[in-house]
Amino acid sequence: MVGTVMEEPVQFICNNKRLYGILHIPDSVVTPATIMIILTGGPQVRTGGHRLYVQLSRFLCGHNVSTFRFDYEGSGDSEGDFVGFQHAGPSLAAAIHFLHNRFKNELNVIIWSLCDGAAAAALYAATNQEYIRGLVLCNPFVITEQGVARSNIKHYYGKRFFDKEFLRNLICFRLNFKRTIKSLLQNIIDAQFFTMNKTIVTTSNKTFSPALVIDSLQKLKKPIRIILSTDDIVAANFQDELKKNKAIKNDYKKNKIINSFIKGADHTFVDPSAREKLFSLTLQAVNEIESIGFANVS
Amino acid sequence: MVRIDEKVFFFSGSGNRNLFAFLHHAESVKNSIGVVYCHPFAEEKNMSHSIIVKAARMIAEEGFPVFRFDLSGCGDSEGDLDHSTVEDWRQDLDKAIEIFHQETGVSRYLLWGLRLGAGLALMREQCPKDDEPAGLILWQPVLDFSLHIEQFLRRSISSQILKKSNGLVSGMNAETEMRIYDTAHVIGYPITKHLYNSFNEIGNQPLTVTPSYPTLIVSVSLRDQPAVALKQHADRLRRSGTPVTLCHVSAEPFWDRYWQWECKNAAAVTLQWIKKFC
Repeated sequence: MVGTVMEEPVQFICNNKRLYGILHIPDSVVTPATIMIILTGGPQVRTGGHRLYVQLSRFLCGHNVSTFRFDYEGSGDSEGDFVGFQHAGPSLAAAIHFLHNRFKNELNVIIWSLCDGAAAAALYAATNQEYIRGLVLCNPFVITEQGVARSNIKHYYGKRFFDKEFLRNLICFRLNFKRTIKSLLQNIIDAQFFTMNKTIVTTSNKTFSPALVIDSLQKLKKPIRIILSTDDIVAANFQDELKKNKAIKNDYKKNKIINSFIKGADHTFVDPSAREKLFSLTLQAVNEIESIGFANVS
Repeated sequence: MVRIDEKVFFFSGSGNRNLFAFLHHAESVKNSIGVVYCHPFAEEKNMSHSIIVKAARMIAEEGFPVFRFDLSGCGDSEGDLDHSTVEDWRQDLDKAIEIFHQETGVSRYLLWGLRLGAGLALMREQCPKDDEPAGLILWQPVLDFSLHIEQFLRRSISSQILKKSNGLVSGMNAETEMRIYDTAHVIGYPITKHLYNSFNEIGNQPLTVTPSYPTLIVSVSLRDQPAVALKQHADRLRRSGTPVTLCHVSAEPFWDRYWQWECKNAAAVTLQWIKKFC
């Protein structure tokens, strides 16, 4: 429908509920061998915040990459109550099953996701490696209260107290001095006193450890490309969590996992130049993953 | 509970753009009237999506087919916002109503809109008599398009403040950006001069529309009564002879925040009102 792209709305079933998605297949492709699945993150629908997933799909399709973006159980048009990212696995499995029925059983998938969708993709892929060709994860969500406090001190206050403009405003009382110091102290307290708190409280009030996500990345024997925004506390927190896991360094040495950074980008790539960079890095990642082939990488 | 059929497809809208459609249709229980829904602008559409879908399913389960669709350059539909105007959306709405009749075989319809979608529904007052809606359902309607786009542009300043976090914004505002570059990027949405002007062409016309058919206004806020502006609007409509019902629902303004999944009271008062048409 758009240039050389065929877009098709589809319905499939998961847990007796109807889920909905859009297939983007380039006109030049009759039967795709690989499809990139876009798993939604946060409270988003399959179009993405500011239509990010629509534009990404159309961009990739223009470069002969087939994509499938869908609403998991309870989100967007799909039936059911919102289940949260920890429970997106069955929807992802149903999406892959649908693609196999629709195309052919040998079809492989690359999962692309942002924020807590990236965490869901890692958790799913680690235990269901059969048809996974690789992952492209953007600003993965592995937040703890302690982690946020630490990341705030390190990445926010660390930078701010060396920022001339900030110091000038602070000294000239253009900023609320009391509130700034109070906020910093609160973050220090949180970072210190939540040291035993290793869980994330998610929106659905279920808990799980961020280490699970990092361990999942390690367990997965497929290439993983991680795209990180430099102006995003979620991305900064993810890097801090990575550093806690010594064993994952081997995966970086072997290039199983490669990080890319988008300077000045925020969490959802609102800025047009950040979005362009995200699209080209995604295309590059997909091409790399395809060139590696289906063999395990570690 | 009635299992409703659901159908997703594309249809041709303004400028032959393919528009995404979602039809909730209970084949087993048939009423002689259905509902066509028109969504709000930009991120308000995403934030309200789940609540609207749940309300649509609730209405359809009672035997009223509900037709939802995405305007040009929005949601899953073809095009981008920088190639769309309010005029295109008005044409899209006309086409959507045509498709609703074709797909359901139901001739009478109610127009339901949230925020900007409600404003667009009001603007359809000028349509031919033989294709008039039987009634309007306006959820927290936008009555002044100029004000709406101005407020949206101001969001770029808020996002800059959030980004800089020191309260001092050095970047140019969206209006200046639009004047210089023809397009301003506001929280990821491209707003062209053309689109901006098309909002201003409508201005506060929805405020002056006085439908002759029954109109339900649903006000949603955390207060215990409707906003003064909506009360005044309802009074004005009443004085002009519009059979208007104003209902207030005390709930989060779900089109303006994420993580909202249900607004049962808004759906319930709407369904109750729709049932009067049977």
